[in-house]
Amino acid sequence: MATLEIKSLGKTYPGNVVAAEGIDIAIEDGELVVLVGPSGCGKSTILRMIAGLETITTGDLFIAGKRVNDHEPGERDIAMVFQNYALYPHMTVRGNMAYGLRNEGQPKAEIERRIAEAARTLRLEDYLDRKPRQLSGGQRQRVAMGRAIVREPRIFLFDEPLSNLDAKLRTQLRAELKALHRRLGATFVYVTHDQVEAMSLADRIVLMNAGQVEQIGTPLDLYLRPASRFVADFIGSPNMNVFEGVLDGEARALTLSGGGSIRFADPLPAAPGARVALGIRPEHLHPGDEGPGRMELTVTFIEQLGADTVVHGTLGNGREPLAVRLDGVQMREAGASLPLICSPEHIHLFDADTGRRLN
Amino acid sequence: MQKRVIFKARGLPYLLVLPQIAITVIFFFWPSWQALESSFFIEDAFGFSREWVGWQNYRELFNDPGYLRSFRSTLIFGLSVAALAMSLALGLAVAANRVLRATQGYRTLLIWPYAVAPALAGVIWYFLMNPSLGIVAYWLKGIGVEWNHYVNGDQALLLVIVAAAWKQISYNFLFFLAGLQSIPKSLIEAAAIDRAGPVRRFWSITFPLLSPTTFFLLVVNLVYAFFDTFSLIHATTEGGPSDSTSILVFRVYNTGFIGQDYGGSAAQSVILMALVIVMTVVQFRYVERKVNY
Repeated sequence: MATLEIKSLGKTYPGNVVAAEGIDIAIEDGELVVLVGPSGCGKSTILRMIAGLETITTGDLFIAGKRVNDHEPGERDIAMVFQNYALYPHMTVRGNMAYGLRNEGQPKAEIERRIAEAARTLRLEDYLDRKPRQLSGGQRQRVAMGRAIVREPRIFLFDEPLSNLDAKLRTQLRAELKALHRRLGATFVYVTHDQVEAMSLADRIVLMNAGQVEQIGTPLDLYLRPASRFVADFIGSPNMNVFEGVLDGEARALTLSGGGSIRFADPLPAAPGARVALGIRPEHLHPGDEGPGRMELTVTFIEQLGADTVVHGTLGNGREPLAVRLDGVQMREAGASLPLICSPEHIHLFDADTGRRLN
Repeated sequence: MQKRVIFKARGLPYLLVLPQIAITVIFFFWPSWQALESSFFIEDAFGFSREWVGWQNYRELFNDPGYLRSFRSTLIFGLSVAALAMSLALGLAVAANRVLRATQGYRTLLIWPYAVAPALAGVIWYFLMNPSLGIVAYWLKGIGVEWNHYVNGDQALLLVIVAAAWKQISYNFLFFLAGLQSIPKSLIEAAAIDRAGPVRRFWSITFPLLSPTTFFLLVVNLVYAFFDTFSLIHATTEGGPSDSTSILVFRVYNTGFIGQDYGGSAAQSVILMALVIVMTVVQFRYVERKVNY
C-alpha cells in the first residue's frame, strides 16, 4: 500500500520515437487508477516504466515518496498481471504462486499460508497442482492474479488483463477485480483500451492520447465534462455526436459545415463567429417538437439493443451523421423524420482547431 | 488434433511415398541387411569365400580389450563433444539474444563454421595444435603446458573433442537462439518482478523452457559425435596414438578396410546400428514426452 507519483515522465525509444511525454499523475494510497486510451497512446509504456521493465528517459517516479527510477523491478515492491498471463508453463499453479515468495526467502509455512489464502479467495483450490496449460483462460487469469496477491505488494499493476477473455467472462472478472481491490485496499494501476472497463473499474481515469495525458478525473468527470473533443469521443457508447460549424454573430445559432443549422435560446459560451465543435451524447437527445436546440434526424438504420434503441441517421437532409439513443424498443422506418431536442446543460462545446473544451 | 486430408484415390498415396520408400529400402535397408548378414561370416580378404561362424565375430569383439577401450573413448568423446558444443553454443546464444541490433550479423558469422567440412575442421585444429609449428601449441608451451598429441593419448583425445565440438557449435547456436527467442518476453519480465535476478531467471525459467531444444540437440550431438566424426579423426590423429582416439566408427573402418576383417567390421557396424536405434527410441519414447510441459 503506497502512493505513486509520476512527475513529468517521458519515454523516447531509439530512433527518436516518443512513446510518452510530460506525464504527471499522482496516485493516492489505495486508489484504483485506470490508464485508458487507444492503442499506441503510451499507456502500456507508462505501466512498464512503473514496473521497471522499461527505462525512464525523463522525469521521476516515486513509490511511497521514494524515488525508484533506478530500482530493479524486483526492488519496487510491485506485482504485475500481464495480458497474456505470463504464467510459468513448466510450473504448477502452486509453483507459479510460490516462485516470487521463494525468491524473497519467505519461510515455507508462510508461503503455504499465503497460497492457501489466495487460492481460497480466487477459487483455485482444486487447481493448485495443475499446470497452466490444463486451465481455461479465466482460470489462468485468476492464477496470474493469485501470483500477484501472494506477494502482498504495495502496488498492483494490470496490463490489459481481461482483453484475452470473452465478453461474458470479462464482465465477471471485472466485478471480481473490483471486489478484490476493495478487500485488499491496495493501490491498483490498470491499463486498458476498453472505455467500459475503465468507467466501471476506476476511481479515477487517466485518459491518454498520442503519448500525453488528455484528462485525469473520475469516470463521471470524464463523461459529464470531457476536457477535450478526444475525451468526449473516447468515453461513452455509442459515440458522442459532434458537429463542426461556425457560430453566428450572437453565438446562438451554429451553421454546420455539413449543411443545416441548429438554433439555441441562449448564446453559447464562445466568441461570436468562432469555429467550434458542438457535442451532444446520443442519450441526451429526446424526441420533441418544441423548444430550443431543435434538430431533425432522418433515419438511416436502427440498432435494437433490447433495453434501448439506437437510431442512426443524418441531421436534417444534410450529411452530418447523428445518432440518438431511445429507451426501450422503438420502431422507426428508414427515411422517416424524427424531431429531437436537447437541453443546453448537455451541450459540450469545443474549439474546432485545438479540440479544447470551451464551456 | 491435426486434421488429415483424405484421398479418395487409393493408389495415389502409395505412389507419393514410393520414391521415399525405394530410397530407404535400397540405400538403408539393403546395406544394413548386408552388414547384419556378413557379421555372422568370416570372409577372406578378397571376398572369394566365406564361412558361417555364428556369433564368433561378436564374441571376439567383446573379448578384445581394444574394442572395449574404444567403447570407453567413444563415450568420453561423445559426451565431451556434446557438453562442450552445447554449453558454448548456449552461452553464445544467450549473449546474442541480449544483443538487439547486431543479432543478424552476429548469427551469420556464427553459422560459418558449420559450413566447414569435418575433415577440414580437423585439419585446421591439427595445424593450430601441431607440436612443432602450431600457434596454439606454442602458446601452451609459453604457459608451461607441453603439448604433443602425437605421444600423449589424452591430449590427442582432447584435440579431436575440441575440433569436433567447434564445428558443432554453430548448429547448436542456431537452435538455442531460436529456442530462446520463442520464450515469451513477458515470462522473463514476470520473473524479474518476482524478484529473480538474471542468473536465477536463467536457471529457473529460461533453461527449463529450453529443455525441448536441449534434449533434441543432445541426441543430435551424440549422433554426430558417434557417427559423423570419422573424417575428422581420419584427417587428424588416425585413431592414434595407440588407439586412444579410435572411436567406434573409426574402428569399423580400421578393422574392415585396413585390417580387412569384414566380418568383424560388420559386427561392429551392427552394434553401432543398435546404438542408434536405442538412442532414437530414447528420444522419441522418453525424452519427447518428458520435456513436454
